[in-house]
Amino acid sequence: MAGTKDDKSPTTEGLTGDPDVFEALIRLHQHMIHSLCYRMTGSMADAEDLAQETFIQASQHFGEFRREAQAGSWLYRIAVNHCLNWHKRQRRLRQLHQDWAQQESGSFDDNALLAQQVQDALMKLDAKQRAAIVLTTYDGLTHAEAARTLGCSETTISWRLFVARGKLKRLLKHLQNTGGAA
Amino acid sequence: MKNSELDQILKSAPVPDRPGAYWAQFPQRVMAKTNWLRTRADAGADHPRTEPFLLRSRFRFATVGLGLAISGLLLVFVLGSRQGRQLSITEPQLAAARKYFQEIETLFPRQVQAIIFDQQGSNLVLAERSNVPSASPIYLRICGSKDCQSYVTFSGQQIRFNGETCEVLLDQHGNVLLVGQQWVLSTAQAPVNHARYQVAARPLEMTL
Repeated sequence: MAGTKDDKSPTTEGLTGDPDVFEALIRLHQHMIHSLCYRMTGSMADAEDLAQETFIQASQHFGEFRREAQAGSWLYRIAVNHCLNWHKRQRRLRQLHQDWAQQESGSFDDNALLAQQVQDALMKLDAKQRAAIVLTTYDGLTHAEAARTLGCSETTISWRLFVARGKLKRLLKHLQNTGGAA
Repeated sequence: MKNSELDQILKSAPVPDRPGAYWAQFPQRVMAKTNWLRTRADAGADHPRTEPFLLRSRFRFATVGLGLAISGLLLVFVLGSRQGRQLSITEPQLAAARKYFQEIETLFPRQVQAIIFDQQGSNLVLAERSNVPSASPIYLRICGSKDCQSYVTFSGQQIRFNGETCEVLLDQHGNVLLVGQQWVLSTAQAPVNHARYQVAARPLEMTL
């Protein structure tokens, strides 16, 4: 979950201008941010760009970071917002990517094929629904934490999850009873 | 399908892994970009360049600002560019370029393909991997009808100026050749005057 590993992380020091500490902050959270961005975009390259933008924006907004907050959660919120904004810009490109991925999926091994099918299903969700799934299912946030991260109510999160789960169950129905194996 | 079954399926799809070198270099790239942005902001250049050749992000491109010291170095180049019609490469310019190059090379060993200096600031063109052949760096200045650019690059690398691509070559006598699509310039008798460009170049290491 975002922000749970950084109890001893170089939070406020890094955000007040020490480059070494901020670099340590990047090292601490880079996997989490990359994973989030990949889940939200379905693209390794876009995830890299968004992760980089996330940390750059973080470095530029030292003053907005509340010292009592955890740096991981703060970075996580920045990344989520970046991903949602990215989605608005990249909707059409993503459709092209999906089409290509479907064409290419025949060359994947079983595990890769399963991963691609799941990611394709995630990408068919509305971006905010996908964010709700990523935050709660993959990153383990509670509904309340996800609501704070996305800036909406818990009820909204619950509704988005309900709708998203319904769609995913339909899209991934063929994987049922396989234990997750394609 | 139950929610638990759906969760199991979702979690069975891992995020594709990346090589260890990626994770080792990613923070450095972010810090380099951050420093560069800060330097640009300090210099008041708040309009990022959009030239595609220079702004291939991801692995191919990174730009490093080195704080106020570099701002001072940039000032040297800007002033030099404004005097570029004379195309004299001064010792301070060479010294500044050499210092800049050495610092960049330390950060990105054998990845530097070119460093470009112009009125907007500095830009790096980096190879994706550390496979740029070891060679003596060349300091090159080109002036067109409107502006000038300075480069630190190597023999065999390509540079762009005024939308034209040309290859930089160093002959056995230390003269620099610029090979464009329809023209060749040599600095055997520098500075070289051309119908469109003025060019001056010197091997950077020779000034050490």
